Amino acid sequence: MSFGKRFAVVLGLILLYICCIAFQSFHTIVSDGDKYRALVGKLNRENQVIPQVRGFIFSDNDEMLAGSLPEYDIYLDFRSTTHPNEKGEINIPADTINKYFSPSGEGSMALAKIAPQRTAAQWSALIQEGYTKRNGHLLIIRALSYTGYKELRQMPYFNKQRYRNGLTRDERAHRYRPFGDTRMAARTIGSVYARKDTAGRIGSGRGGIELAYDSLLRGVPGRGYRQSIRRRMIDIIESEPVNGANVHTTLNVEMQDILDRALGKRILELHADGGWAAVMDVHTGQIKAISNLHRTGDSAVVEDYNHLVEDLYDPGSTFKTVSYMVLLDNDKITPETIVNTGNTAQNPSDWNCHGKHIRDDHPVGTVTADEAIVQSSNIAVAKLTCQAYESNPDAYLAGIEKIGMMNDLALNCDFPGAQAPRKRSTREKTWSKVSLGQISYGYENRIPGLYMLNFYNAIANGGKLMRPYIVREVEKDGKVLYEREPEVVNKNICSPKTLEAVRHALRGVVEHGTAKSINSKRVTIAGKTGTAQRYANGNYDYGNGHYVSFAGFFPFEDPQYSMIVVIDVRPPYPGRPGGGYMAGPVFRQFAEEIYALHCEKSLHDVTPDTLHRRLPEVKRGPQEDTEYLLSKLRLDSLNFKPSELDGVKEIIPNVVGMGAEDALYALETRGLRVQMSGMGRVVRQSLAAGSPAVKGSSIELTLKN
Amino acid sequence: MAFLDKFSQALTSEDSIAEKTPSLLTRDFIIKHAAKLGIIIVAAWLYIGLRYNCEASLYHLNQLKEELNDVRYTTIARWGELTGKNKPDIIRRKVLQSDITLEAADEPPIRVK
Repeated sequence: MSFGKRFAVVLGLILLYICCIAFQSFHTIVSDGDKYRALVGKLNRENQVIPQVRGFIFSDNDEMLAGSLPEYDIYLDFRSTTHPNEKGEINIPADTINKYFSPSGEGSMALAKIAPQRTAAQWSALIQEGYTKRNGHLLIIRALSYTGYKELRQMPYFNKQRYRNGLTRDERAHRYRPFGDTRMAARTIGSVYARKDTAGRIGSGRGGIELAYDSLLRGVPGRGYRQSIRRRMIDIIESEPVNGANVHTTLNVEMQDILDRALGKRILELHADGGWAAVMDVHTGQIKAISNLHRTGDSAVVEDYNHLVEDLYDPGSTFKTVSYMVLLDNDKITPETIVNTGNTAQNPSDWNCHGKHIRDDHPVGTVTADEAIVQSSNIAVAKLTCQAYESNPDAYLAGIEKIGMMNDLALNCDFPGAQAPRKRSTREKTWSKVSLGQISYGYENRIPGLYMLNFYNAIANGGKLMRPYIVREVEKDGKVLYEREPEVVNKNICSPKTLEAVRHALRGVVEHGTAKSINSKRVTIAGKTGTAQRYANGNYDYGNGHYVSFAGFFPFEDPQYSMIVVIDVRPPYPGRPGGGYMAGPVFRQFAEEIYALHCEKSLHDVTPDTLHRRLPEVKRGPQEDTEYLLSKLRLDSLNFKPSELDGVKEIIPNVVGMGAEDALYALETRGLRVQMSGMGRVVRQSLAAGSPAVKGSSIELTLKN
Repeated sequence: MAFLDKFSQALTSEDSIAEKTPSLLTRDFIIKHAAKLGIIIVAAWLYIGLRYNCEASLYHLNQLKEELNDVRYTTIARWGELTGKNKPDIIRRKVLQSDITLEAADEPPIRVK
């Protein structure tokens, strides 16, 4: 065949091939178009959202309080058994199911181990039934953790390739809280919408810090598409997801744990409805622990609602401290001012304040103003306040305003839903002649618990009213995006003299007043008790229950932490409701435990006794070295004076009490020959201390343990 | 055969179809553009090869990403587990259950300096 013919044949074949391709393309596009377009759509999914990782929330020691992990709903698909695969094989033969999912089969045992809510026999029955019915979407485990899923995939039957065992999973982002979802400041930290709701808020913050810092925590999802490569679906990323920033809080896990435990125990003991408590660092205003517990049964409490910032309550007698401060600061009274309550044990009576009968549970008779606070007398405080401000109640309210504790601190940035105090004004229609008296001992003004704590914190730190905060830093990849510094709202809530008098009264409350039951030998506590009837159904009534509280600080001499405890108790009570014996024990337990763990004593504060020796026993030794060591330890002020004889080389020193090495050194440097017997420390020396040291003479030392 | 003869003549004759009607299917054209055609074939071969490599890299990258995620998630899970188990109350209860004569300090530490 000539070249021309061969060329024509090759060219003809190429043309034929091209025609075939064109025909097939036409056939594919026109005849099978829909089928293949559907397949392409299935294999290459456009506009895939590549999920980002939500930022973490940490404690003050960078322990994880909330993090992000995937969790899975696990399904088994048995439909494939009715449709042979491309090789004509049945993927899950019946004998395989029978082998693995008999009551003692390895598959049933594996499921019973991973999800112990069912026994192996129950798992077997469930799987067998699903297989018989050819269930295509049999939910076997809901919300399985990441480690649980990994463990499951290594177990018999489930370790096969997925299309061999019919295992399918539904993955979603899970907000993981190592300390559990119902404790450890759960409401303050908040939660995240785990499933899509009507507003499509999946993955968004739901209350607490999660909501307040949602825009920073959330991050930005990426975009891309899924493509089948080597028979696997792979995400091809067009824009990378941006992970959320991390939020670092001021919460201390140890303190939170102690507070939860102490408060929870007390709520259960009192059979109270609930209780809330918070601890603040005196100097910075950082919230170190916050607990809002609600009793759900005889032995269980859970975090349900952030009462401390979202609830307003009548503070009761803890507000008397405010009145006392205003009266003192405006020179209306002194701590020694005498007030006659007219109420004694022998002749009990109440005080009629414009038709309102003000009572004292504990008659105090005639007392000083200081003692009126210590004994928490409603009559005394109301009388003093009314006498001073009856003609001008605005001056009293201005005094409260000057303190600043009732002003809105705009805590919403850390605590979504935070309420501002509701303060009374003489311009209100509901203001009456009894309002002044009632406000003075803690009614009518309604306040969130955190504001009351902030007031006592200011008393503890020398008069500075701080802005409480719980988030100290937001960072991303080590770069700080936001940092919070302590902020002083009011530099001086009162004069130093007033502050001293108030502090004295608060210490008296615990030493011999209404909270004497919590006077601790370990740590000095100062504070004020409070007992207020709950406002419900339009009135205050004994039957509505009480808010019993204690607010204060510790240690009294050098306050480190301030704290408030409020318990919502309902009748019947074990005795008369009272903040001292009901809420006080929580304060005391917390203070004692935290004092030992988070406070420290200076050596000079220690009372010398057999356990604590002020001066470490110095067994002489080289004088220069000893002095150097003691000066470095700053113990030189403790009157360490080495014996004057020790430095004189011609005199035999006193080596009793020394160890062998030191004694040998002290004597041999004076040219003495030393003979020792026994072990331990020198108890006797043969040549008397202070006698001349003659070189070459012998000295015998007796040592004893 | 007659068709082939005629077709080959048409391609090879001086008075070819190409001269009468413009066509790429001439011997001269193919010989003249042999180099370009070669380049096109090489480019196609390179494209296919690189695409294959790219897909292989993507596949490998995806595997590495999965491994990285696995390490990350495992770390977070273990970290969380340890954090949860380190809760002071749990330690306190375990000490009590274990009958260990260990007590919480009731006095703060004394700072010497």
